[in-house]
This record gives sequence, structure tokens and C-alpha cells, in this order.
Amino acid sequence: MSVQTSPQPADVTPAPAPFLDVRDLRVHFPTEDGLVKSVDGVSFTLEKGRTLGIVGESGSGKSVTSLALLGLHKGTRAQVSGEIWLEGKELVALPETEMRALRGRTVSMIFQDPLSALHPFFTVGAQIAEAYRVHHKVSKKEARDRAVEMLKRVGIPQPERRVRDYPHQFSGGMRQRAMIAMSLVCDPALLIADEPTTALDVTVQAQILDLIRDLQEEFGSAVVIITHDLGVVSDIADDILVMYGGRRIEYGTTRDVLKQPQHPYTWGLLQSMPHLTGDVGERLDPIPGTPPSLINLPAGCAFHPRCAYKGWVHEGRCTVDRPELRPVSGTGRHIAACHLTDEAKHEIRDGVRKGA
Amino acid sequence: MFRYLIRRLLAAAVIMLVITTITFFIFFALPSDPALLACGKTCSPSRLAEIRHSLGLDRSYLTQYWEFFKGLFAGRDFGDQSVRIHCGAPCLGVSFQTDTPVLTTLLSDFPADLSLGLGAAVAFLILGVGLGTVAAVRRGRAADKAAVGLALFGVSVQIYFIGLLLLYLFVDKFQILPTSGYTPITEDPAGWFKGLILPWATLVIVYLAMYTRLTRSSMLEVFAEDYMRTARAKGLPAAKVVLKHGLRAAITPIITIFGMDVGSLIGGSAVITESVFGINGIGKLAVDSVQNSDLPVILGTTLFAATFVVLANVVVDLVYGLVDPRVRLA
Amino acid sequence: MTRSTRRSRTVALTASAVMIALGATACGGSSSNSGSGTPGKGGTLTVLDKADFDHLDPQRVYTTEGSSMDEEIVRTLTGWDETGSKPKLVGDLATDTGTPSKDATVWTFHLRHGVKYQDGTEVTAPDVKYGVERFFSSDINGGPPYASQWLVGGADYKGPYQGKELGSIQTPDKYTIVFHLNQPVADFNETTAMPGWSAVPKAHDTGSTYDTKVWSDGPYMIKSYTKNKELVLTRNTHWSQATDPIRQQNVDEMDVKFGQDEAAIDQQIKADAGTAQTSIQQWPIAGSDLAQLANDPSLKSRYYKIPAPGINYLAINTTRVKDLRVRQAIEYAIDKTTVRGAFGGSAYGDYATTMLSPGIGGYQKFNLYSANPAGNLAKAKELMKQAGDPKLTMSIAVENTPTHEHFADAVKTALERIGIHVNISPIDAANYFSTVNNTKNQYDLTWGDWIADWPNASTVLPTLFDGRLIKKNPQANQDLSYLNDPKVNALIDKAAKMTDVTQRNAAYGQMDEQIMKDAAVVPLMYMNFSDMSGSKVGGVIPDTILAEPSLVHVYIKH
Repeated sequence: MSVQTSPQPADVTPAPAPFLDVRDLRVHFPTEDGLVKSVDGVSFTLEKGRTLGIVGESGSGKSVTSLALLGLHKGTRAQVSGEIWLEGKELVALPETEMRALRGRTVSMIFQDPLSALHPFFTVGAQIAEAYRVHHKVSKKEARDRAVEMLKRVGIPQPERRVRDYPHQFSGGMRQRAMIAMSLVCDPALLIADEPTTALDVTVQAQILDLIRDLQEEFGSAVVIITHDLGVVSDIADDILVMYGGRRIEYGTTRDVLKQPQHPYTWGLLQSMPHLTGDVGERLDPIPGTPPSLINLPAGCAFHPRCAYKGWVHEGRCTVDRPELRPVSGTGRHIAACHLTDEAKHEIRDGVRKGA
Repeated sequence: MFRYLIRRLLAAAVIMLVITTITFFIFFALPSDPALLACGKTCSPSRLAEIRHSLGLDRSYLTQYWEFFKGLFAGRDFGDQSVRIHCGAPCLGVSFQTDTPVLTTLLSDFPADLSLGLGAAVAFLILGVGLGTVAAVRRGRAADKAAVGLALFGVSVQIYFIGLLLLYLFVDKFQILPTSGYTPITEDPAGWFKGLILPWATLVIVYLAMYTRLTRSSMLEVFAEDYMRTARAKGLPAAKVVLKHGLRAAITPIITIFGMDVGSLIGGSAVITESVFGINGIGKLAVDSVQNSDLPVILGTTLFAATFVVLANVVVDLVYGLVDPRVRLA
Repeated sequence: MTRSTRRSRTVALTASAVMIALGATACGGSSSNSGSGTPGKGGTLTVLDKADFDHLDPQRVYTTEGSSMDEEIVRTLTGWDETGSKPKLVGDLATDTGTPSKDATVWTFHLRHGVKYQDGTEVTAPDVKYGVERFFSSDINGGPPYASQWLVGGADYKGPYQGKELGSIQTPDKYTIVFHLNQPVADFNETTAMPGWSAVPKAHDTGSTYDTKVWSDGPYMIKSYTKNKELVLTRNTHWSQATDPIRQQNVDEMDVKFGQDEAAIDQQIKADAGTAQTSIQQWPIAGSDLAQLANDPSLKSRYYKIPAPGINYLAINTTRVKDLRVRQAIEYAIDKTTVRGAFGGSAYGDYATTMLSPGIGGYQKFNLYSANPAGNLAKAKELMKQAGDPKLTMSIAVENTPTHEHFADAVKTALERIGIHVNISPIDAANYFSTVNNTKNQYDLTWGDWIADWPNASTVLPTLFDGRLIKKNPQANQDLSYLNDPKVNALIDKAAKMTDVTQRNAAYGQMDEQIMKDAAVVPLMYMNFSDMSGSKVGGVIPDTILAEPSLVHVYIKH
């Protein structure tokens, strides 16, 4: 079996000037113990009105990637390289003052835990109004009206009254709605949602995801959803990017990735996802082992210490050679980085299905 | 809110009662004898007994205690021979040493403590929080190291030394400031200010350290909070992120300590500063009263200081409620 | 007399020493502009005091600072003219130093005519009688005990406030006052130089609050007095130089400021800037600053080293350390050089070998023990050997101040060398004397100091060594040696009856020697007190009676 190495990965020769184009993004943090390579050569594209799901365990680099999109590493010790093109502007080299003008207005973010992400000492209304006033020359009154309007839009009852409440007076779901209201207050072109439902209970999760989808349709924004849960993105995302150890290991349309997952890690993620169609007694298998050190990634395939199938690859290549991203045959732009042959993959997946 | 206040004030009254009682009985447990002290170096037992009687010390502790409380609410008359001294309610007693009603002395000393304490407190709060903020923002860099170093200096030097040094430099050597001392603001506002510059500076140097460090660590803690990232993600300018979102949260733990400090400073805890700069405040009064075994003044100064500390606590709680909506008071 | 019962200095001794040293290097020449200017009238003298006088009421004052200040306000029957080489007793309110009866039990004084109070009325004998009677009221406490000890009927008299008079003070006419004493007192006219032997006009007596309202018949009167803050004296325009042999009235005002730390005052006066140039201190220079300032040549013209009629001593409790040889061994063993070092070195005072200091009537120079102030270890060991080399452990009572702790260490080191183990008992400085003077609290060794009320042995030895007084004043016992030697007691009684001062002084010298023979006490230093003034202060007289800088001739140089 010959290894196909492509100097030009298939996905970086896309349609002309996508809305968001991330190229070879690297975010490194110098520490006393060494250089932490949180994000190491990530690329993807996203069009307006589309949704990308970035999936991975904690420490896979997905949140760091999202912060890079907001330019929030500027002024810290983080070393950021690569390119982020947004509507024709390159963000990595953009000065902080100009980046600041984009933050909250063009790119905005929904954070994971709305209780800690909202300031406990300011009213919900004031925080939303503030986000609006940063980018719009309006009176306090107008900003306040806008906040009420946004609260209404995200489905908070009695917004005129709740606008004066503090975050701790809101329920978890309401807080996340308020957080969403705040991030959408300036009609951003790119919305990043970092684990938007993790802190919420299941019924509320669905509501929030519905809300994001509805609002996306309404505003026409591009959305990046970051999650460790494939289930979250399966309904909502158009594309899925799976990250491991700061790198991409699989990237393609949601349909391709879910139907024909190529990487043992993605298999693991899928297995740890509850299926409504699956047996009641089906066991959710978390991936055994722990995420790798970002200072000293394992040689070869970063996943190999946790991979149950490295024996299927000849001569221990998994521990020596780093697998390149290869297009998956028979798909448009589905790529994955694994030494396993297609045959082996089929065999394994069949076996897994049977065994389960 | 109103009920809370009533409750707190009642609790404060109980605390005061306890403090007074403890002070009162500790005093009698001490070996010092105010009558003996008043009597002089060569004192005959009969004379001692007379003095003890005229000071009211020959009665039982409980009677004296009761008299003290009666005085608080109804006033008392003192002196049985040479002069009658009326001490109106709330009467804290009459000094063994000066035969002046304690409250009169306290009230005449109080403006000095108020000026010294409040002025210094405002200065060290603003400077300390400012320096601490700068240190936190510039963490690990020169400005941080300078601020932390400055704070360390302030913590390690003694008030006594700093006071003398400032006095020497600004009064004796360069003669920029007049010989210190307290001038009432009503007499001469400029003199009041000039006379207090060095005492303020002394207290600032000493207290600044704590406030800088406190602000710095509190700020760093706040910087790690998610809502700070949210504030940046909104596109707020860095200064606004730090000063509005950061400071608002970081200031809460500082308020508590600040309240206590102001309370105790106003209540007369700046004894050494008072002494170095010749400001006759409640702190000196308290120390002198202990040395002179002047029970009414000991009780008075203790009660006075306690009042301010307790009061400061109540104010802190109220302010806390204003700052942190999560602890709004029922 | 006590210097003050408030003698605590607990903070940062080293800090002040550092500051003074800094001052010495940084502005050593600051006093180069001193010495200029001539005596003249006018100006304000600032007096910087650590603390307020405990009393200014002449019948209550018993501290040297208060007594010295009272000299400006209150005239006493007799007084000390200290312009000469030795203090000379003169009549003050009285025309002369009084006339005793043959047995010195009746003393008669004639008052000067035309001595005026601040309101212009004349001072009369009944006012003096009234003033002395005030001593007896328990409201007027704190003063010396002599009036009640000596005046006939004094034991039962309770003061003038119930309308009763004391029969043993007679005023046959407006200008004559006669005192009837219950025992001969040959130096009674020295007693009457104390502030309480003065006039108080009944109409202006405010009883226990008279401290701030003292009615003046001296050159200065109280303009304002806020306790613990400030006392301002201003000229008494009714005072006339012609009637006063002791005082002058040069400055317009005296502004006494209380409450500044000793070291801060030392530093300020040394630096001699601004009002410090016209300032003087009454509290002595802080011990920590003493060595530094005493040896500063630039301060010479405004540094006053005043020998006090006082003694710093270590009492040996003779009822606990019963073996005379052990007590003698202690006399030989103590190293007075290290002891004096602890108290501030040579500026503090000269090594003492007697309980009476050189300025005191009755003083005789002798030394029964080691000629070398560092002690005689061989002799001390020999005495211990004679005593059978007992293994002894002794307690020593000192104040809980750094100075005293150093002192106690010096004693401990010295006595360990002769096999006596010493346990140090530091006592709160403010309560030191009320503790050790209480017979319930006894130690083997007790530190003490004593300043004579007037420069005669009669105010030292009978007070400190009359063993018969121990039982009488169990809470105010001054006999820290608990010495009750019949020989000493007999000498006390004998001297008390003597009306001839020379003979009496000889008897006191004998008494001093007997006490030293008993080895009841180790005299350590004859004390000096040192004060400074600003460069524009002139006319300061070292007052060796009170050990204060006397202000009676003070002026501001212009």
C-alpha cells in the first residue's frame, strides 16, 4: 500500500475568496516547561450562512483556535502565526486597535459557561447595552431598548423587566440566551459558540441549539460551534473539523464525517455519542487514555498511544511517521490523517458494529 | 434593608456592651491601682483610702459598673469636696487624671483622628488600588516589580522610622513644611493641610503596601475570570476592561479591609504616627490612659474605638450590598 | 521626687538612634548660625514636651517638669537662686528664708509687700495658708506628703473644702505666716521652696480642676491650657521685677506643646530649623540619643547637662539575702561600667559609691567597696567562699524597657561569675514602682532611682531606709532593701531632732556609710539629665534642684 503524500492538501485549493479562510494557524505558548503548541497548523474555510463544528477533547486546541479568531491572543505571550482571512482582512497581523473594532461587531462569541462569562456585578441589560454601545454611537436609552429587543428575540419573557436583573437571577438556559443576545447585538457576520450547551441540561441544550440555528437563518451569519460532543454538531453543522493535539485529524462535510468516519479517534467520539436509534443498553465508550502533552506530542501519529488499531499498520509506522491528511476516496473534500488502509478501516468498522 | 440595619445596630450594641464589660473587669484584674498612682510616691494607707473613696474605687465592682451604665443614659455628678463636675448623658465618666468628662476629651481629640484617618485612608486606597492595578496589568514587568518592591519596602519599614525620616527631611532639613502638629481645619485650613501632609504620607507608605498587594492579587484573580474575556470579546478598550469590569470585581475584598482600617484609624489606632508628629488624638489618649490607670478614659477610648470599628463593619456590609448584587441584603 | 511615672519608651530605639546619626552627618553644620543675637525682651519660647504635666496645680505637682513650669506661674515662700556656682536658698514670697524657733518646730515667714496676682490683687498670708491647706484634701492628690506629715493636727485634717482651717498654720497679720510642726525640721525652709508652699486665692480655687486654672502671682499666667495638647503662658502684667529675686520676664509668651515623641523632639531641636530655634525641651534627651548628642561639638552651646540630686541604684533585699558576705560580694561583683553603658554611657552620670549624690547636703565622699568601677572579682569570690559558696538563685526586678533589659543582663553576667544565678523579672514600665513598692511583691534585687525633693539627705535616706515605715505603708514602701537596721533607724531619729544643719549633715553622712556597711544597696550612678534648646534660646540656667533647664531667666535672641 503506497502512501499518498500531497504537498497541497485538497482543502486549500478552494473556491475563490471564502468568507473565512484560516490557513496554517499556529498558536504557541512559551512556558517554563517548554513550548506549548496548542494549535499547530490548522486550516479551514467557512462561508456565510454556513456552520462549522470543531470537535475535540479538552486540550485539543479548539478553544484556542476560537480565541485566535477573535484576536484575543493579542497582547499576551502567545505566539500566533499563519493567516486568518475574514472578508478579505487578515486578522493575525491586524493591530489590536483595528481588531478591537471587529470584536463583538464582526466576530462575536458565545462562551461556554454563561454564569462565569457574564459579569456578576452588572445587570444583564447593562452588559448587552454595553456591547452595543462599544460599536454604535447611541444614547444609553437607545442601547437599553436594543438590549430589551435582543432579549425578546432570544425568547426571554418580560424582557423589559428582566433587563434590570443580574445574571444570578437568571436560570441557566436564560443566561445562555442572554449571552447569545449579547453576542448577536451587533449583528456579527461570524459567530463563534464555544461549548454553548455544555453547562445546560439536555432539554435546554436542544432549545439553545434551535435558537442558534434560527438566529443564524435570520441573521445569515457564519457560525463556528466548538464542542467535544459530536451529537451537538450533527444536527446543526454543515462541516465538521476534528482536532487532536492541536492538529486537524479529520475534516469534511458533516454527512461525510458522520457516515464514513475515517479516523479511530473520530470513531471513538462517535461511540461516546448517545444514539437515539441505538439500543437502550448500549454502552457509551469513552476513548481510553488521556489527551497528549502539547509540549511533547508523541512521535508519529499523536493518537497512537491511545489507538487500538495501530497493530493493523505495518512495521509500527504509527509510532514513527506522522500521517498526513489524505483525501478520502469517493468524497468531495473529506480528508483524514491516519495510516490505516481503507480496507483495514472497513474491516474494523464492520467488526466494531458486530461486536457492539 | 431597614430591618437589617436595625438588626445590625442591635448586634452592635450588644458587642459594645460585651467590650465594655470585658474592659471594665480586665481593668480591675490588673495590678495597677489608680488611687495609688494619684496618691503619689509616698502614700500613707489612710490617704490612699481617702483617694480611693473620692475616685469611687472603694465601692464594689458591680456598683461601679452599674454607676457607669447609669451615667451613660442619665448622666452623673462627680466630685464631692472641692468641686462638682456635672457629666451629662451619655456620660463616659470623668478622667481620674484631668477631672474632665471623658466624652469632652474624646470629642476634642476626635477631629484630629478623623482628619488623620480619613485623609490617609482616601490617599492609600486610591494609590494602593492604582498601584496594584498597574502591577497586575503589567504583571512580571518592570512596573509590576517596582510596585511590588515599593510595597515590600512599606511593609518592612516601621512607622516610627518613616515618621522620623519624613520629619527630618521635610521639616528639619529642607524646611518645606512647618513643624508638624494638628491645627483644626476651622482655624486654619491651610495649616491643617500642611500639618497633616507628613502624617498622611507616613500612614500611606505603611498601608499602601497592603493595598497594593491586595489589589494586585485580587486583580490577577479577576483577570482569570471568564467575564473579563467576555468584556474583551465585546470589543471594549483594554482600559475599560480593567477599570470597569476588573476593578469593580476586584475591589470587593478590599472594601472589607478598608472599612476595618478606616474604622480603627478613626478610632485612634495610629498611635505611633500621632506620637511622632505630635498629634494628640484618641490613640495617644488611649495609650496614656492605660499607663495612668485612668479607668474612665480607658473605658471611653475603648468604647469609642469599638464604636468605629463596629460602625465601619455595618458600613462595609451596606457598601458590599451596593457593589455586589449577589449579596443584596434582605 | 519623681521625674514622672510615665516613662515608657518601647518603640524602636534603634530607629531613633539611626535618625539622629543621620542628622549628624547630613547637617552637622546647621547650628553654625547659633550664638548670634543678643538677649532681649519679646518673642515666644516654645517648650516641647513628650507628655503633659501630670499636674500643674502647685499642691499636686510632683514631677520635675511640672515643678519647673510652676516656677513661672507660682511664687513659693522660699526659692532657689541658681545663678551662682551653687544653688542658694532665698526668700521668694517671703522676705527671707524664714525664722525657725530654737527647736525648729515653729517656722515664721514674713511676706513681701506688693506681690500681685494676675488680677492685680495682693498676695496675702491667708492665701498661702489656704494653699497649704489644700494639700490635705483627697481631691488635691498626688503632691508630696510633707505638709500632712509635719504640721500639727495634719493627720486628722481633711482640707479646706468643708470650711475647716488648720490651726497649726497661723496668720497673725496679712504678711506673716507661722507653721507649727510636730517635730523639728531643720531644713523646713527648703521644703517651702517646693511649689505647694504658695498662695492660692480661695475665690479662684477650682478644686480638682485647678490644674488648668492656676492663678498666677509669677511673671507668667495661663492664657490657655488644653490638657495633653498645649499650654500657653503669657506675661502677667501685674508681676513686678522689684519684688522677685529669682525670676525675669523676658519672653512675651511660652508655648508648651505636649505629645510629641522624645526622639522626634530631639531630632527637631538638634536640626535647629524654624521654630525649633526658639524651642527647648523639658523631658531629658532620650537614652538612645544621649551618647550621640552629648558628644556633638556643634551642640555644645545649647546642650545642658544637669547633675540631678539623684541616684540610680540596685537595692538588695536584706530580708531575703540575709548573709552580709553575699551582699558584700554583690557590691564587689557588679560591673558599673557595663551597667552605665546600658543606661547611655558617661553622659548619663558618674559612677556612684554612696547613696547621697555630691550636690546633696550630707554628702560625704567615701567608697567601701571596689575602687575600680568595673568591680573586684577576686574580692567578690573570696567573700562568696567565706559565705560557704552557696549555690544561689536571685530574682531581679527591672522595667520592661530595652535599657533596663540591657541593665539586667549586665547584672546577670556579673553575678553569674560569682556563682549567683539571676532570673530577670521585667515589669511593665508604667506600673513598675506601684508594683515593687507593694510589699506583696518582693525580689532579691530591685532596681530603683530617687531624686531628692530638695538637696538634703533628709529627703533621701529617711525615706529610702527607715525600716519602720515598711509596715506603715505596705502599698507604698520605698525601702526596696527592706533594711530595718536599728543603727540606721537611730541615726534617722537623731538627725531628725538636730537643728544645726552642719551637725545634721554629718549625721546623714554617717547614716549613708552605715547603709553601705550593711551592703543593703549598690549605688550605681549619680544621675545627670541632659536637655537641648534651639540656638536662639538664651538665659537657660541648669537647675540642679529639679534637674531641669530652668526658664526663670530665659530669653529669645534677636
